[in-house]
Amino acid sequence: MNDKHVSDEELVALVFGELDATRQTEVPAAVAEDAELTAAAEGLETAVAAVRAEGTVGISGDFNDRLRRRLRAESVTTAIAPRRRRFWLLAPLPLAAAAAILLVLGLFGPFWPGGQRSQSAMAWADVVRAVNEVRFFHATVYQDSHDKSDRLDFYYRQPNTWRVQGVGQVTFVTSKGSGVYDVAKHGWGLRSEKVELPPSETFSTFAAAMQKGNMLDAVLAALPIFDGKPPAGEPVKSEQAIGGQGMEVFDYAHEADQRWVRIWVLKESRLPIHMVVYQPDDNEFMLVVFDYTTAQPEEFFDLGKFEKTVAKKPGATPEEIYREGFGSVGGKPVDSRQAFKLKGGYKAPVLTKIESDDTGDLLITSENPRNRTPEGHPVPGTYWQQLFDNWGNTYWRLSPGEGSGKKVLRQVYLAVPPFHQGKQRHTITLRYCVRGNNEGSQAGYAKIQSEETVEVPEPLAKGIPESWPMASVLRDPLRRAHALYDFHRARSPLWIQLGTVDPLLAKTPDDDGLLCEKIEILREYNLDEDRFWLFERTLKDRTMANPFDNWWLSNVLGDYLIHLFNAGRHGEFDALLKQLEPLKEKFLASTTPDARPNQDAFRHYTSSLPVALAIPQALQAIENGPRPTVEVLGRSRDGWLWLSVVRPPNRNRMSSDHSWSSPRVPKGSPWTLVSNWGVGDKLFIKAKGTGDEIQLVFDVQIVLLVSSAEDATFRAQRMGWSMTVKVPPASVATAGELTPYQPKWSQGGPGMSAPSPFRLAWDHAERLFDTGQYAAALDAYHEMLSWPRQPKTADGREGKTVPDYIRETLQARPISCLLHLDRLDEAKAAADRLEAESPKPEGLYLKRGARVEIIDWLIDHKRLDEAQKALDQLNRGRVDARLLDCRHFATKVSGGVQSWQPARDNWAAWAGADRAWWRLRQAQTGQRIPPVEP
Amino acid sequence: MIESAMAPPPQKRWPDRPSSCIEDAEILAEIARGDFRRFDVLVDRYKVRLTAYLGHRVPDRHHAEDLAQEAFLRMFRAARMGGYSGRAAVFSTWLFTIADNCATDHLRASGRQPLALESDMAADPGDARAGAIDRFPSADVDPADAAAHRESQVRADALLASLPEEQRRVVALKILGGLTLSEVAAVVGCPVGTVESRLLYGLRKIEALLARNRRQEP
Repeated sequence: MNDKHVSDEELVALVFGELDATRQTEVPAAVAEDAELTAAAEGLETAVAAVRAEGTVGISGDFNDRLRRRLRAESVTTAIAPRRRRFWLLAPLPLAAAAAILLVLGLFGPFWPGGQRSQSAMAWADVVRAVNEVRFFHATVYQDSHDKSDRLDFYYRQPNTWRVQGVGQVTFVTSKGSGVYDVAKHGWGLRSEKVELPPSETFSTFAAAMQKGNMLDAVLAALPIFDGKPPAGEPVKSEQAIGGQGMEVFDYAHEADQRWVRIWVLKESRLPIHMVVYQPDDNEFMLVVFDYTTAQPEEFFDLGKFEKTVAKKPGATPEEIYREGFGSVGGKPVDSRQAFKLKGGYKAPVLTKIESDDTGDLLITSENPRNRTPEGHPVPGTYWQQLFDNWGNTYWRLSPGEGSGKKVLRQVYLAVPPFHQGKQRHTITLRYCVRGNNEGSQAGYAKIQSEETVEVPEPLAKGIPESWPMASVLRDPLRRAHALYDFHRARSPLWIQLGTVDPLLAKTPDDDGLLCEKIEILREYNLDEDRFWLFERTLKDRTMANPFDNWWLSNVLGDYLIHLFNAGRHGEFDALLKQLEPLKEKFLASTTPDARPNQDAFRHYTSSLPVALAIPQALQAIENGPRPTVEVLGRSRDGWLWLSVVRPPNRNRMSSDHSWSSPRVPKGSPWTLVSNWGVGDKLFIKAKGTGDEIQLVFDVQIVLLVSSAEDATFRAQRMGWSMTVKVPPASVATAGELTPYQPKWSQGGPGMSAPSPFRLAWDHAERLFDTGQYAAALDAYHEMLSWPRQPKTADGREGKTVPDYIRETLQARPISCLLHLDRLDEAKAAADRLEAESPKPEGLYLKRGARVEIIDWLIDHKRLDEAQKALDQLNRGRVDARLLDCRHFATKVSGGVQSWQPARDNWAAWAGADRAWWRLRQAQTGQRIPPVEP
Repeated sequence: MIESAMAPPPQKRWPDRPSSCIEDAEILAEIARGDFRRFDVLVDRYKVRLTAYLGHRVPDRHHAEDLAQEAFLRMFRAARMGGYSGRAAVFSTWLFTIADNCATDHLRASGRQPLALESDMAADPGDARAGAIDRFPSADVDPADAAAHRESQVRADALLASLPEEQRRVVALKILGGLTLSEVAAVVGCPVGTVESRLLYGLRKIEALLARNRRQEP
């Protein structure tokens, strides 16, 4: 909240045009009057525009057709009406079926009609009695018909508690109430606080038969297979089926060509274990399997708990809903979450043995914990991820080890050089981490599951024991150094990273893999000119000869082609593409048995080469399509130029798709775009500057088609497209007189308020800097730095204040000016002041940036010794990157989660200094790609 | 049965209203009844926004369109079963919630987490790649894995990816999904004020990042 009583939330609502009706006048007015608020709103708009530009996506032209086809296909499937009524397709029929089975089992035994009883030792009445005594059971009913198979599960628990589930429903009848839950709709079809069987047609038939006292008819009527016409009589012992094997067999019907029911009963317990029903006329078959040994927990029947849990899982699949509350089967898990819980979460490997050699390396033997995530996915890494000792060393796992997927793991860990030898007893700490695999703010953050510190035994023998995995690698110093390549990447200084590759390259200069690794390191440091220079002289020719043989080479080639295009080297780009065309066709043809080129082969070819190959196609689409139009609205003698821009709408075509950003002016332009305000494709722009023409550059986001099949694959590529607009002479004196020319559609937005004095002064200074007027720019920056830093002062009405958050940046700018003016001593003094005045850690980037600029200046002026000295001094502030944690950390802060990763963040903070080191090394050696010793 | 639903419509008694005036729920009800005449209208209204939003929910952006298709399919399935009453939520909220679930399922199925939280441990060669020594040009390095890894690195530099999950989701729903603040609140399941705060923090962070990138430009 500020003096004008515009809250942060209102500022957001204003930017998105969603202000509360009662504030729609006050808030824009307050923002327009307040320079700070205006700047804040403009900043938010800039961010929104950037996200929009980044979020542009391509939609394949046949999106609707494909969707329609899939939808129709589904409709046809579901539109086939069931040939005959199925008892469990009538909601809420599961309960009726449950009742039917209950009756078959004799739980309604007292109503069983009299009839001819078997003369054997076991009579049907004994079965009825035995079932009456069970405390729980689970019956699974499978029904197969000509076109479909269904399954339904009945869970019973005394007293009179049921859960029946399958075919899209979960039905409860419990003392706490009853209900039928529709898993597809994710809601209750029926819900009651009473214990009741929900009404249904089948249940009515069943109840009516019960009232007549004919229970057998009732049971069989409830079974759909008899269509309400059950065979007469009660189950009798089968004369055809052979008893024995501990079982007796009962039949309802004796003739094989009639509808029949057969029930198998265990002699000892007298409990039925399965039942088969067959209807020959319709070829329908039903199998019922009984289990009396697995009791589901009480919560499984608790419909209140079920309701709460499924409400939290709106996207749950039917299977997940059916398993909700499900207990283990005799202690055995039935799903991944249960397995995870039963295991007690993640387990660290159980350490069984440590061996060491005299170079500090370790061989760790442990039992594989075989961890899986709660979702059932394998956990990446079953080994100890982080090892460090009490002498200040860290260790890196030499991959691959032995035993992956087996019970015992044997992993060698390299001591990351330089190895420090301590005097105290040598202990090592082994840390086992697991990355969060769930969604949410903590996803991806590695958590320590276990940490143990153990003593390291004395080396068994001198040298690397032969029995250790990858002993040959450990013995070769160069291969050993190279094994640390992955440890050092994006963590260690550039010279250490290159030191893992260059010595090997010196031995085998043509090794494709090593060259690719080196190019990749240079890519990480944005040293594009150097990496492509290296590529041109090493890998280019052989990659051009076989562009699709090796993914890594193909990817570098693709990057190179895109680089050529973006650098304006269109002649070279076109020539290479022409050369690649037949090879591309050959490759596409090689992916099909009939040798017809298959464009779809690129669908899974994820290198950047197919993207580069598709650039001409996209350019053609731009040439053939609409382009932006620019209209000059007016120009004033005080330097203002108002423009109206209409961008082409986003296009959706099979061949390409592109969208146009807001324009910018190229570096060095005499014009500055001070503000712009857009609605849809229209933009209203205020520019300030001089000259009789203005060049505007649009970043065109082109979505390139890299495969042509139905599931077309697209990749986005951003390209600059520029146009030059003639600017007429000024027609009015001041910007204020241009107001009548402002388009009506653009009036009223927050961006239309006059730019704040700070923004104007800032843009003016930047323009001076960009156009090489460093002395004037220096004065402009110094003038701004003399303004009050607190936003609200007596001078605040004019807005001559500097927002605090920008002040450090403003302090750094004069250093650049001074260096351009070759006033080194003053630049150094300014850098000293900057360091002294801003102790904030987040200002480190700026401070270091200023130092790096000074070093760059020294290099440019061939004062290499001084540059080396300055760089050495700067590097003294470096921490030992080896010991930094490589995990992600997350902390909840107001408004979200703050995340950081010590190793990566430290690397990024020093990347500028590393680039300066690279330039210095180039200058010292006179080589574009100077070699680096390990 | 479906063929008859797709047959030419009966003679109209009144001229159709322009498509832009027709409510989403009305079209949805027609489609649920098997009437596909205004199918394109509804899909065209949402497909770009939905795909853009999904592109920022999953690490592999090229799956966004597939997921958008899946979201539409699920939505139509649910609509056919009467799953959308139009009372509890506006259509766009409902559709984006379904899309969210699709993205969640996709992430779950692929065993991946949302983008931008890549850790160094993901680069551990033991996870997905062979050992460092013979890593290249060994055949056991899966280019797809390597590409996914590289892509995630590239994307980690992207603006949205720099935000924490909660802020990213809200920013994506609002700006790419084009939902209103209250609709975003309904999808995310939090008050509008919280949505506004997350948007503010997220956008300020992006603004700062843009400023930093600008400073670092050569």
